[in-house]
Amino acid sequence: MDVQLQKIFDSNYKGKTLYNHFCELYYQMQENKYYKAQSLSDFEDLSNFIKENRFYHLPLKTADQVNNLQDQIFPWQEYCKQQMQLMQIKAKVINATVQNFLKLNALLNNVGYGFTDEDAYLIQQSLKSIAIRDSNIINIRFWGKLFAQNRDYYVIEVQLSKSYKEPQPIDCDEKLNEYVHYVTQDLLEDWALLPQVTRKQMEASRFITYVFSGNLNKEITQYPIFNGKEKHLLKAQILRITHANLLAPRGLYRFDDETKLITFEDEFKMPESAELSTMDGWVHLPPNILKQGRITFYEDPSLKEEELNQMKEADPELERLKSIKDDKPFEQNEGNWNIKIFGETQQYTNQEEQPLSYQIVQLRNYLWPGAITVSNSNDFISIYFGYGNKNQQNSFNPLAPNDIQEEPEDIDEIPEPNPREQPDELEPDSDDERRREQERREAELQQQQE
Amino acid sequence: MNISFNDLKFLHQIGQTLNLEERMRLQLAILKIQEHYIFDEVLFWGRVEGVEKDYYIALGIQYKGQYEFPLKKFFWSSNNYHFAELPKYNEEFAQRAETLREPFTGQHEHIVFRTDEEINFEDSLEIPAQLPAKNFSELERLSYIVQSIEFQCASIPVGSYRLTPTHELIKTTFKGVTAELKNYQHFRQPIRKDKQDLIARDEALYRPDFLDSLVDDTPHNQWSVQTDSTKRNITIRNLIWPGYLGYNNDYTFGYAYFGDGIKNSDFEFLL
Repeated sequence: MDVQLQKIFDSNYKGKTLYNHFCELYYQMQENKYYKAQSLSDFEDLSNFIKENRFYHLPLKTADQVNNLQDQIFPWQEYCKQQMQLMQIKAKVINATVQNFLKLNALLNNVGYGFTDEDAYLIQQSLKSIAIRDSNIINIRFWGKLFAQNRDYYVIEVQLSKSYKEPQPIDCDEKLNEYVHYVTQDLLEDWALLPQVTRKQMEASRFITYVFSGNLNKEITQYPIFNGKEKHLLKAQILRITHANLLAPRGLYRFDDETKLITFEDEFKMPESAELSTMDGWVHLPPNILKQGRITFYEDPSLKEEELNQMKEADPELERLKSIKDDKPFEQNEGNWNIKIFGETQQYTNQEEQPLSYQIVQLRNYLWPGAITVSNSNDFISIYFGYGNKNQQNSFNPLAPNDIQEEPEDIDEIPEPNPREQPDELEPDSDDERRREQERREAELQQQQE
Repeated sequence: MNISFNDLKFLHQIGQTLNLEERMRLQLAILKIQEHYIFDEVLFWGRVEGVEKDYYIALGIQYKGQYEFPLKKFFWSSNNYHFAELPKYNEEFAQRAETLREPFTGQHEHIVFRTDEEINFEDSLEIPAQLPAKNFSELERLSYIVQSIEFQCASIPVGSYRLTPTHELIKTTFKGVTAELKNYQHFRQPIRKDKQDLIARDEALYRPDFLDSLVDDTPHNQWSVQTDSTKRNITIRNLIWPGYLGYNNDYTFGYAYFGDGIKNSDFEFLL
């Protein structure tokens, strides 16, 4: 016991032993005029104080150590540099309609969604940087955020004046790839362009429910088979979400039947808040995607006309700028959209007897949870925050694979018609054959006898 | 999450936040809870979105005087910002509630399951001791969901709490952890045998990771640990209960739930 106690007392820490420390402590408790140690709590404080303030002699570094001292890398260096670069992006003139995301984010915050001001500022700068890079851009907006297992995706949507001419299979629709998307996983890093999708990929993506992993080049192993990597599925889901959820207030756009183009209405006045807060005030802006995976129906020349007509009926094209009131209702709700009012709901009238309202309307889509459109009397924004999947009311039922095909019937084997040599006597394969051989030989024998 | 709402910026990772009106009224309402109840800490737990109205949940925690794990009490309020205690739920129907996919309507008396039972007194020889249960209301569903999420998800970083020699939990000065799953543990009474043993042997006093670790959760892909550009703000999300977010950086930590209260039961098929 004594030996152990002696060892503890002699234990060394930076040149001082425990015994020395106790002596020092005791001395201070008695002699120190400035710190009157009176009770047990003071004991600890004093001990700590002594430990921290004593001069401990550290041995000098050897020559080796001094020569090999590495410069301490400032851990935040990369971050500061990137952030500074992003914040300084500026151009004389940008010929594109860039969304004022900074302002619209404040609108989102008022309904309980959105980003911090700092993140919104970075997103705005990113929008600018992409617009500067490509002079073909007409329209650029922040599409939303797709959550993934490892790293989330931020997505920006762009409309170009001249689309990229990537070779595509014949049955694909050029118009489907009208919107082009850029993706990044970290706002300070560079944005990657998502590839175009083919019709088959669009069709297949309707049957898959998948949580993105965060790796753009990951192979998708789901049933039914999706031919493509995660970036293709990402693009397909983004397109589906956009075409189902991008809304515009009624009267902003006009669809020209002859040229099949959407243009701005000449005289546009934002509908009143009363109308915006009902489903009547909103229309779908992009066209509907058919089950086939295209916008206009594709007539496969190899299929018969009857089949084509049947397929066409099952997959009708819908008119453009359709009101959201006519959307297929979700479960027991009326319609597909949930409308909530936030903010100041007080109705004012200004001096010209016109109603003035500061309320904010939020529309949420039931079928695509996470897709919202928010508007007040001056602005509106559509955005998506979610995992990219539909709201499945039924439990996941994997698609049954196709029936196993039956083996074809075995064809009877016939011996070679004119063999050069006499075929060897082979053992018959089955009883039937044996019997048949037997009968054949008897018949031959009979014939010979006759 | 603390009611000073300084930590709301972490929620922006999932794109959710509280607007000004919500923040102000919640602060007042949560402070008011302490008028009638005594807790060491009253925190804002989260918001469950419904079709017509939302539910706000607050959590009161009592550390002192509790052996082995602090006492948690939940409070709920609807859009009127008046908190009341969250009632107990009926055990029988609770399991079914977990797999419901319908959204919350926002009306707490809405009946989720009917429990019409007819008891024929003439035929049975004995009279049952208790009356048939009331209908399972949405409030009970909320209660069950909130307590499930708390049990299955609520997590804190390693090193944030210590066990005192009297087996009380206290908060320690927290220095931050690296962004790995093994640095997080469940904020609940440990159910794993090895952790329970640690506590029984008093070894837990010297270890910072004496609660169930998140690494042992099955299926283990349900946790998603992410950092932002600075690599110091870490958020940890659960994929089975999308909407749950735990966060920490070098100074603070916490967790909250902002979602629709529906469990993602198909999770295993989605990867």
